[in-house]
Amino acid sequence: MLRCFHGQPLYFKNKMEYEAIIGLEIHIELNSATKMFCDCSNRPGDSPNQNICPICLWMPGVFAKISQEVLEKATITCLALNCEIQHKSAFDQKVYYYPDLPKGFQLSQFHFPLARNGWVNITDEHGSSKRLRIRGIHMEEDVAKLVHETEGRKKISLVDFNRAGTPLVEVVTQPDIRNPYDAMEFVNVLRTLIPYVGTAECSMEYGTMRVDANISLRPVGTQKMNVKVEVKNMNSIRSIGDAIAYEINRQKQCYEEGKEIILHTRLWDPEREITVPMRGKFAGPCIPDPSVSIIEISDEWIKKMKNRLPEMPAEKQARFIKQYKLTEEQVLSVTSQQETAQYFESLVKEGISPITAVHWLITQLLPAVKKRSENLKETTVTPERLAKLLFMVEKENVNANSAKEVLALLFESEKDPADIVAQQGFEQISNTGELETLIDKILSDNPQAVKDFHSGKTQAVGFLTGQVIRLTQGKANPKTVRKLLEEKIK
Amino acid sequence: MSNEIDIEYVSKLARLKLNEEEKKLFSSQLNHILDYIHQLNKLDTENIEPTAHVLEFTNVFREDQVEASINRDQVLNNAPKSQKGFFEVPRIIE
Ligand SMILES: [Zn+2]
Repeated sequence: MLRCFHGQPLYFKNKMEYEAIIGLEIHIELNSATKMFCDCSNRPGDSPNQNICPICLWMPGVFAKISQEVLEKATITCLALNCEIQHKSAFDQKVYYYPDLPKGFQLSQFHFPLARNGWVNITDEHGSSKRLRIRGIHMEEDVAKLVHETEGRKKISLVDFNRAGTPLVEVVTQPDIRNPYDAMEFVNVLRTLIPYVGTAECSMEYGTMRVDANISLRPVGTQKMNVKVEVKNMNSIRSIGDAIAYEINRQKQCYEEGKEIILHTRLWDPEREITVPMRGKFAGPCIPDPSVSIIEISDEWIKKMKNRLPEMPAEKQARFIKQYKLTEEQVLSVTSQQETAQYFESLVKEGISPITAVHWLITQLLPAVKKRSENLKETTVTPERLAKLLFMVEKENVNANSAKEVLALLFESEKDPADIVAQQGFEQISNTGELETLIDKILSDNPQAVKDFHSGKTQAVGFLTGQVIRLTQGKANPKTVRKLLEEKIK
Repeated sequence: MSNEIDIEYVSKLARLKLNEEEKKLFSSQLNHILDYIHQLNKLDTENIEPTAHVLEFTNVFREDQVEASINRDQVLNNAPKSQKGFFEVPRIIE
């Protein structure tokens, strides 16, 4: 099968140019403590059906009451995506029959969604900024999880209600997206922005963010919307791009062969890298739900929620460039996550220079924290402790190599960095008397290198410097050693 | 009375097996309901705000406070089939 390369126009046999019309529907699990309509824990659970009650088992006659926290988190999410919060929203019963939804309907907002008309800016593959519109965002409950098994020749499904009733927001875009790259970027931006405001984790890997794509083709220059195909089951950003590219190409071939495109849903198969048709589900109507109350929101309350939004990445980046005189690349590396930016600013507040702070945070601390499966908020290497170590680096009391070793030790105990340096002898040797003795030894041990130097091979100094530092087990100040060496060798 | 109900299709969706007599009976009853809907459709609703809710109550919220869940084994005992802590049902998709 041919692959559609990102951004290339699609030419049909008759040389007619077509464009893809892509819209996304993105389900995001909110991170409230309880489920949407009951007091059960909103956690996946260590074992199946651990967090369940009559409400999320959807027993007849129960009273579904939404939590204030869910409404607040949903609203903050909508505000982060520049949506207009609706003053009145309400829940509908979306009717369908499936074992993951035994009550026969899902509580969702169809007629009166929480928010409409949002947008986010993405950077397209040519590096220019592009605004993609969001049609609306509504709240809905998640359904139970099915595990499919085969017992002998009998095919069964096992049902786990831990996920049933988990609060979701569904982001529905306008069909503004024209290529797989922009679709991936849109999801990428959501995955950055939403964890920033702290309302959801947005992990495609763990299924706390699920992306469906609606795709159709039309000749360039025409406005008519052709029949679309929905693609589900993409569990990484890359697979979103691959699945959309595959589907565009598949539809293109259908048109070329004169086959009609029919409205249906397909699943992305990541192993075979193809989309396959999914058996149709009967989707029924959406009717107003009589149990969950209407939600009425005042301008004052919306303002309160707006005040809870943190400084968003774009504003933060602009401020960091101005305030800390960092390059755009450096700024991007420390602002991609809220906690990284916070850690950086704490280091600077402790008196560390922005350049040193970025360098140590990105190249040393973050990889070390990740390797230990910790996070910046909880690690024992607090900004205060790291700052103490970096002060010693800036003052040249410890050289960079030793500091890396001290950093590893900081994870192991609560000891003060200065104590670790003193007790384990990590201080940089800048004492010239001590170093001169060592240099004399190295010069007499390496007559060939000295000869090389005198015959014009200046790089021999580097070799000799390295030898001296090795003698000190890495503790010598390289600049001092080099200076002393150059003086002596002449 | 109109005659637009495809009783074969409806019974398939509802997973109900109907005999000939039942098909006749329910076709007739469902067609009656449709007639009534058609009658409602004739009403002019141009300037009427769509109904969001059948009851007049707003902003009834819960606190986000986790409470103990119920006993799983008791729940599963009520299920026709269960195993390994799951409810067991026939597979719908292939
Ligand atoms: Zn529950």
